[in-house]
Amino acid sequence: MLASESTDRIAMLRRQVAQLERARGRGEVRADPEAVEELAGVPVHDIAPAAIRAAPTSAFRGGRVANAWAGAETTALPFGHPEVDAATGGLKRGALHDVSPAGAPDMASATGFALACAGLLLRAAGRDSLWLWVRAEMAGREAGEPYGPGLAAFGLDPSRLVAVTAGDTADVLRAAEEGLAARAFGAVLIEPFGDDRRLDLTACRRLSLIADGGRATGILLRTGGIPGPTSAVTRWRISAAPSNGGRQPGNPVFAADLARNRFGPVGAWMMEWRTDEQSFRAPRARPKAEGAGPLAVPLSGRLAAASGDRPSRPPGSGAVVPFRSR
Amino acid sequence: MVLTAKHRSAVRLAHVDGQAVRLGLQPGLGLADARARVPGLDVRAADPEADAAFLDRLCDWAQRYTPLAGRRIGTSSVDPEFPYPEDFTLVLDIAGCAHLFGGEEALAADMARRLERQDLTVSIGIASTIGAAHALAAFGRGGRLQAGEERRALAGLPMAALRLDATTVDALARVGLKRIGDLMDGPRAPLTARFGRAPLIQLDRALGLADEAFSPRLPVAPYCAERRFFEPIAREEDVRAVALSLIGALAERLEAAGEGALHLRLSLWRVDGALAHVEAGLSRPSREATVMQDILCRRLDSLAEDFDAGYGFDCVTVAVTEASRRDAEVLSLAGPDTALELTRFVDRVGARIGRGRVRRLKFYASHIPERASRAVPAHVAEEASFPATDVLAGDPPERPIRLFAQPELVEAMASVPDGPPLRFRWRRVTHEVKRAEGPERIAGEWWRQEAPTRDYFRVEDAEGRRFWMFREGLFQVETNHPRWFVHGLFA
Amino acid sequence: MTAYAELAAVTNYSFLRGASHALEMVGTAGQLGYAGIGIADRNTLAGVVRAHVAAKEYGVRLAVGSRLVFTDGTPDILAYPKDRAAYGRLCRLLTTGNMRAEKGDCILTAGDLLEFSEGLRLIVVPPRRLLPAFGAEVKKLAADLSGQLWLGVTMPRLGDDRRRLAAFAALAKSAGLKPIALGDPLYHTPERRPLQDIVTCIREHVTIDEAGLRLEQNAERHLKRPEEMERLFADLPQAVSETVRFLDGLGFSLDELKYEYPREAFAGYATAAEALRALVEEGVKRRFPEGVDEAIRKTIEHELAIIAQKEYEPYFLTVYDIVRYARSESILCQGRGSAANSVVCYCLGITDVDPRRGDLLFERFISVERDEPPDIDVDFEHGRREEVMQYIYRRYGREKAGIAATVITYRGRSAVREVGKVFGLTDDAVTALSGSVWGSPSKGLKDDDARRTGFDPTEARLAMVLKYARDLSGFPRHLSQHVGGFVLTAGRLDEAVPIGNAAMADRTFVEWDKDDLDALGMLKVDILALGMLTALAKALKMLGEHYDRHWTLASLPPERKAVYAMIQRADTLGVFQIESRAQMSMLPRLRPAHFYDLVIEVAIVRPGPIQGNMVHPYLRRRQGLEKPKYPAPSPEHGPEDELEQVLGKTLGVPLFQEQAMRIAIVAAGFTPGEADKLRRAMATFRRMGTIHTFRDKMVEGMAGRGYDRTFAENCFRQIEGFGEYGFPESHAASFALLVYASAFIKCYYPDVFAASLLNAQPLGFYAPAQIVRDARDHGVTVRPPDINLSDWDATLEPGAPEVTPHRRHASMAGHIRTTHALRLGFREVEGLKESDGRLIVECRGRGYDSIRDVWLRTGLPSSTLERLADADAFASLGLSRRDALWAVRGLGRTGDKDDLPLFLAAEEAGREIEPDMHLPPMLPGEEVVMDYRHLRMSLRAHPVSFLRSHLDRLRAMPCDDLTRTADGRRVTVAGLIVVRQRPGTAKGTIFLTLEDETGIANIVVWAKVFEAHRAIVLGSRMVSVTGRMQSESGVIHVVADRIVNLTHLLGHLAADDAAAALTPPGEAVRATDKGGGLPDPIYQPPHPANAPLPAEPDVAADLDVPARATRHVPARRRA
Repeated sequence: MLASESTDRIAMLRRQVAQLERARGRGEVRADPEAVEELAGVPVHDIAPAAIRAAPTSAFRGGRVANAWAGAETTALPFGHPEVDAATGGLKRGALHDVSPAGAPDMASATGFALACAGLLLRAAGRDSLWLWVRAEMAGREAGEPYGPGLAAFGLDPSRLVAVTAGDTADVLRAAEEGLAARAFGAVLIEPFGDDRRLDLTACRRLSLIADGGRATGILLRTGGIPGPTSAVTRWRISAAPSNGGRQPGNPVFAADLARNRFGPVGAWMMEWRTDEQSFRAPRARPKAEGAGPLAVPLSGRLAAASGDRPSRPPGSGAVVPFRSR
Repeated sequence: MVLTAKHRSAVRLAHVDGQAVRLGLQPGLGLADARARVPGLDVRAADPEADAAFLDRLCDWAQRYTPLAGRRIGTSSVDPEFPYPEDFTLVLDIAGCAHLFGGEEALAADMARRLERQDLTVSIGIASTIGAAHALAAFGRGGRLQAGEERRALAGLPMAALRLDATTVDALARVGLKRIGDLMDGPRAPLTARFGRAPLIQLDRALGLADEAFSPRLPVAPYCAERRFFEPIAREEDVRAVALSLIGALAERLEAAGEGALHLRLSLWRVDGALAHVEAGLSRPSREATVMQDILCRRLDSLAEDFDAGYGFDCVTVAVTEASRRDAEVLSLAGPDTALELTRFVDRVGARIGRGRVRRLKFYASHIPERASRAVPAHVAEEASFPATDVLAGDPPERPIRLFAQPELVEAMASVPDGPPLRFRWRRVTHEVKRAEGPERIAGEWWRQEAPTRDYFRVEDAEGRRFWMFREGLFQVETNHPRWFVHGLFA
Repeated sequence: MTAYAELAAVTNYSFLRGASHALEMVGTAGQLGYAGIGIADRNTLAGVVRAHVAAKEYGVRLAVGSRLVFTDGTPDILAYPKDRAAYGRLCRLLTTGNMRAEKGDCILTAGDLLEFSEGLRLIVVPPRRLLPAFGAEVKKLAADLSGQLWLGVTMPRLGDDRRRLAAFAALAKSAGLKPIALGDPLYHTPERRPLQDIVTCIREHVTIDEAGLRLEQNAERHLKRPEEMERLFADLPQAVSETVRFLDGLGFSLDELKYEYPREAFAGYATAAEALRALVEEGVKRRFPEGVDEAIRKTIEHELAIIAQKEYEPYFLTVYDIVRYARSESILCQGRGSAANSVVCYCLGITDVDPRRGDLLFERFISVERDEPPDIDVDFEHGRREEVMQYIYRRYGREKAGIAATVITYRGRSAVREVGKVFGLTDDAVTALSGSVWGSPSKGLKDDDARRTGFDPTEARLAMVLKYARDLSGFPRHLSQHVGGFVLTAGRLDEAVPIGNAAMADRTFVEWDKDDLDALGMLKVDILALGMLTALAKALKMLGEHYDRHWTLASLPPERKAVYAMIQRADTLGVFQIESRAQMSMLPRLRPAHFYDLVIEVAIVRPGPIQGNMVHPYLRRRQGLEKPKYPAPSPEHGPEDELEQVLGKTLGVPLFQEQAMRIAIVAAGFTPGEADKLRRAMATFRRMGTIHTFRDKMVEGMAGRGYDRTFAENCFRQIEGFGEYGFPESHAASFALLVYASAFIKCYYPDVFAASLLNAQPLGFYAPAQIVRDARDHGVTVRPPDINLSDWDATLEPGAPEVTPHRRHASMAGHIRTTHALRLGFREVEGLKESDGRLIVECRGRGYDSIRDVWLRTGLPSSTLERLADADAFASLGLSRRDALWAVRGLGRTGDKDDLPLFLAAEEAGREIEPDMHLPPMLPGEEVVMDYRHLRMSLRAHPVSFLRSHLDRLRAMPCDDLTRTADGRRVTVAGLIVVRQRPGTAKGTIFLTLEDETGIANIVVWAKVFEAHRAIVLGSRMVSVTGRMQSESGVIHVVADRIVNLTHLLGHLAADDAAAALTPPGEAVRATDKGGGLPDPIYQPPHPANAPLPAEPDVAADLDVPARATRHVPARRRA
């Protein structure tokens, strides 16, 4: 068990070292078409020379990335996306991160990005560690409840999740503080809902402070609100991006905008989450809108409009649920 | 009414009530036979665990008379492999306690009165040996036996009254030794050679010629303080006050002994016979009254909603059930224990926002998506891991990360019979589908209720948002107008 | 129209996976317009014959194959043979796998497939996900099986279908395989999904609520329309068209299994025909020493001609060979069934019924039109049948001989039980529900049955249980070996059909059952076991040893008046066939006086004639109350007495199958072959629904020949009535021979008869207790089992006192020739092992002188000696039960049976003398109870005799007094219930037989009275019955109207205060008063259950004789 875990980890590190080296050695040793392609989707201005310089390969030890800007004790986890790793030094542990959707329809993408980060954290924390997702009741209603079978794709064991549903932001914060302090959780997702004044800078600082003790990593997921002031080490604004599949949806791709970075430059990248490798990477190619072939084989080429009896209703109200248990 | 138990593969009667006896039913009879004879028989499955638990409760209750209370479940069956009906016995050592209740008869009368009020049929035997008392209670008519009367009293009782196993009783009966008296004057060596030591040992024990060890059910607490009331107390504050003062008394005794409490138990005897325990464990030994009081009060708080004093309590005890001299410091050196931390978290947060709101996801083997994963309160959840699926290189996620509790109805345009949606309108926004995969066809659980089949699709719109949608009803098989729903969201 | 053939179809012979019958699968394929269908069940060919028959019926092209499931991780592969040779290899492959495994399992590896793969076309079944390991596996297989391997592709509607299809197509390309479309259906229509889910639950031992992901997630695994398949595979259309090309490459049909008879039997002759004729001529000389008449000669020639035309000679010779073997080993045997219609069989010694006695209808046996082999069944002594079977294996070899399978199907009861469990009904509920299935089990549980048990059939879950239980009824659940049907072939049997291990050691059986073998025209010989033949063989041997009478079945003195007199008195306990209550009540009315009367007796008391309302007309005519009438055809069509010729001997009532056929031939103008088809249609009309064509043909035929139409219809209805149960006359005649033989021995040598019955147990309707009692009633002295005097079996001891039968049987006094006493054997001792019993006899020498002696010499464990002590078998040592038990318990009890008595012997000498223990003596009542407990009978006294004074107070008369009571009087009798019968034909009526120390009483309980006394009738050991006495022709019944449970009385037999306990309550008070000195109140028992020595309830259980008797109900005899 342990052996395979560490081989996995070493394999992943090797890949990332290779990617970084390719990025560094671009055009010098050999033209690796794949490496070129890897970088093709990245806006040039985001690749700060400092970032490349600041992430020397020797910094990778024992699965942790020593952050060039951070103190010696803090550790960070590589995203797997070279540019992002270069800019951030990896996902910093023992800190608070802030993730919000670029717009309301992007809440699922923001959730996905937050879960991916949690997945990285959990993987580093070990198989048995628990994780916590504190969310406001409204968030569940508006954006959907955490769905166990879908979480595995992010390397998260749903049976290790403790899910707290809080009535309001005050309770969300209270539970989150307890969670961050509890030393039981490898990652803490904090999902308030709405633009609540209770989630002010002070509240945010409290969270940061608790997390900063090196005990736990918090991810503040602002699914439904306008991002307020934050004290987090990074703030990400996430929007959905077309995936890399053919005619069917592929792995999740995020358009990630790093709006705040306490220890480094900001930037924007396309990030694809690889479910099989449990790691980010830069998307391979510009996704094509249309895949090959039709979406389905109709019986007669007929189209049918199907809908509810009335045009769209307020969500969650009166939609018929066909499978009721008894 | 009859209770049944399973014997090998056959279901047989384990207990029968008076009316069933009159109808000719006996324990040991096959259930099918019994039903054939008495149609409309009220049949329930025997629940030996519940019986035992009940007897345990009764046994704990009996501690109001003496701390030395034990219980025994024997059987009066003659079939060694079918141990029904059971014979439930409580054994109380009342030596030295009886005077507190006005003598042995008064104690027995008090006990009988209280138990009969609970609709229990009791038979109480009092004797100077456990064996004689048990024989009296279970096979005689009960009552009290003076020391020295045992021989005469037991001679006429059946052999089973010696608490021998069914095989031995049967073996003795086969050579004609059926009453205890038949054994009394027999030659000891030949009897032992033939039937083992048990019959004569049991006989000697019953007659007081041999000692019998007795083990109370609950270990006698090293420290215990109690208070009884003529007028029952019912208010929570009163109970609290009594408990605190008892703890104070205990703390002094712990102090004197140089020990610390590790586990506390508060016992509340209700007038109507119910007994409630409140237990609390300490992570490190303590003899500080305040620490003990704090921890017990917090447990009391958590019980507050369930607190039901009924007609009040007439007896309250606090016991230190586990004490230790261990140095407190040793404990803190151990690393943080996740399970412990979690329990603490659940308790703390649960206390603030409601226990039901701290939940864990439980996997449930069902094809129906909303049944497959369920959030259950963390304090009742047991671990049930989700099955691992092998993810192949390039395989996108099959299931969404967020699922709506209620699928949301949408307007959609799709090709028939089972094509994906091409365009749909959800929450007032129209989405153009650019990528789609499906259908994944999930049929209803027909044994619950008829439900239409769902065709699930993973779709991606022009902006790259990914949805989990389904068509409800197979086109032209189940419905001519399938409806569309968004059920969940992918990252 | 799209051409598509399904190649992965399974039937319900893929046990607990497939959810459709072969007929449904094949039929639906036909309706959907498939180019063909391949049936491939999991590692078996068990269902293919049914599919083959269905395919012919529906005109569907069928490919016969099997889905090979491997144990070494190889993916499932569908295997279809290209030709007969390849089919043989497939059978060999499956046989190989079967032989490695326990019954019902098959262990195969890829290596086995490669060994037998020549000529097979193979399709790899795709797994749910294309894992790299699968790809590697496929490439390896493709290399090994180049040119004969396809890669199956499916569209299961699981979301990623198209992606998956593309991946498999790519794999096929890289491995050089052609992709081929599979529907992989588990059922023929989506409506079967619930049933498939249910069988999955049964297979996985879970309830439907727990089943979860073990179930299929949708209802897609059905046969789809070819256009739908084309649409689904739009990305890869060639996969669909490939199915037809695949099918076109297969050229094998089960029709090619041209059957060849084994040739071993006629070694020494040039041809089988020559051998048969020679043997028949030899037989003619033996059977007809005085020469044959013209008619017989003509019949023989006729039969031989048909046999020659159908080339059945080897078959007759094979059966002859088996019978000859049995005779040479003096194993008693007799042919039964339609074979007795053949003079050839008679001459060959296969049957014993003289053809001159009856009206033979050879066409019933073999018909020219029916292209099926004849069916000869032979009964052997049940104890020695295994020798015959092993002879067949020896002689023909295991590759050429196998036992046919019996398909065990879900029936009403088992279906309700299994489905009920799946729906999570409690064990109680399931037991109650399935227990309520009475009668015709194939129709499943009816709503009314459920309601009667107290369930509400409209409750949703229960309604589902009932519905799906009905659907499940008729599904095969597993294969078992047929009781004795042997298949024999000339070539290798394992190249015609896979062979598997049976649960019994040394037995193997083929995967096809009788119907399958019939359908393919394969030879089958039924080697059956008949307990009565065992008893008769033992009896004939004893007669030789003890009475110097050396008879065989055929040489017993025929037609003895005393024998018929005994039969007429219904004194037939233990006599073959006519010992049941129904038979016994018929005997005094039918008064059989000749052999042919016995033939009728055997045939008439059967469900067929009873349901067809034929019994009473026959009885009336037989008793002369009514004259037989024979309708006649119009004169121009035939002689007036044409029906009288057919029905004359049964007084105008059609009783036998042959008569039904004759009526069809004579009166309705059927050809003999058509008549035989009619018979077969009758037997199976429920399934096939083809009876109507015959109905019309017969009624029209008869009407056309001038018969009254109503009469014709009645005739047909009667035939219909016994279609399924009717006996052929020849069969009845074979059985009647055994009836006479057993009655003969019972009549003259009741000691021999009882001993042989006891030694052939389990057998017949009666338990040893009744057999012994009957023997004693006939004056036989019966002695208990004894350590120094008994063998394992019952034996005859010389020196019996003179025989004086009970006055009931006084008329037999002059006939009984018994001079021996009957000594019961150790086999009557409850729980004693046969090997232990025989060991005691072996080690006995000049006798044992003490229990210690027995122990030291036999080395038997003391638990065994305890059993003997309990059975009171040490009486010859002067030890009572309790003394013996005390002594046994006193044997060195230091260890267990591993203690070596030899070494202990030295120690014994120095053993100190023990002080005496005074054991209370046993009371007579208790002795009787112990006798019943350990011997299931008592020779001392009848339990009821101890209760007589009490019964007198209840005004219950002794049973024997009934014979002296006037008809119609109200009487009360009391006794132990020894037989409880609920015949399926009697509409809820229960027959009880009570027994007391004087005799038995027959009780009739009508359904209404039964419902009122249900608990008592079913639950009591002893009852008193009050009711009206009915006596008709010497048959006496009491028609019950009040039944009282007296079981509690029995409980006091063993109590030491029995006498007091049995006194009525009022008197008891007085008795205690007299005794004086009430016990100390403290010790007075509060209620009976706590009485110091309670009545022992299990005493009553010991006396529950019927429990044993019903266990011994003989296996259903074949019609």
